[in-house]
Amino acid sequence: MLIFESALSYGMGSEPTRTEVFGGMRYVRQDLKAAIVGGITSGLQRNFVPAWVDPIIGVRVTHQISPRAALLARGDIGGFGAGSDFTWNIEAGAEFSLTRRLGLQILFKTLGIDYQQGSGSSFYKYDVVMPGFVIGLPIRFP
Amino acid sequence: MVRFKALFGEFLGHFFLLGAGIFLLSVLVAPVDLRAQSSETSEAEAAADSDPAGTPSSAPQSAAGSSDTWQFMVAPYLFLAPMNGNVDLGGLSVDINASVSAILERLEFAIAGRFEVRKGSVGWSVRCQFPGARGPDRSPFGRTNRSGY
Repeated sequence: MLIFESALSYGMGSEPTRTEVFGGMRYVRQDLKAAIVGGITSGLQRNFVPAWVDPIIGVRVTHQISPRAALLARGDIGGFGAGSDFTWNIEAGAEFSLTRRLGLQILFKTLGIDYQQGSGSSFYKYDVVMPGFVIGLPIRFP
Repeated sequence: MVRFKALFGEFLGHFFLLGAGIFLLSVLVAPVDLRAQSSETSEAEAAADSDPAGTPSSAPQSAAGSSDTWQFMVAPYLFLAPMNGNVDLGGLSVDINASVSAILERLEFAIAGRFEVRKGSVGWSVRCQFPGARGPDRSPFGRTNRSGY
């Protein structure tokens, strides 16, 4: 599953706590390969590549707890029937500065997608919640 | 062994990308630190950093810089994702319940990247999560490939 996200944000608040509201798009593309197992048509394959774009809006809050550590939280909702029926994403965790430029982020992230298209034999529904952990190495400059 | 190889083959490219990314990062970051070690001003900065009572010099910029300059952030991410839900293709429905241990056994994860640029209170962020997670091996509509669920 390929996910591409682009968003514009506007930030409020100063030093220890900073709040940003953002809005943008999330493009989701899946690459399904369906194969028939058994029978005379066994081994027949069909590629199915559903893709859609969801509008998203959300909030991100950053709270600096020490010069070297910060708490992060981010959430967005989207879809609204334009792409998927509904999609949501929440992230929460912490960031530590390893060096002046390099940090380490550890976040809990959950992405939910409720999407459907077509009808009858071409009906496709994807209603899934993906909780997981995210480990990142942000570099900041200048 | 065959299964191990099949599993690893799929992720070899990602491991390579991750390794290359970390190498690039260290190249990017290391010269800055070396300079910081050698120059006197940065030593003072480092001292201020280690001293909690000292003036917060460079570290607070990490998450909440409020200056009106262009600020960039780029980050490679690793995303470990179990999943729960229901997928239906042409009337064939399948419930997916992948536990964390099953995920870890099968090394299901995705490589992601994020880029952010900010000037003052306005920012732009781009995120990309590349296919990397494997789908369930058996489902009513056959075997799905590594990127499809």
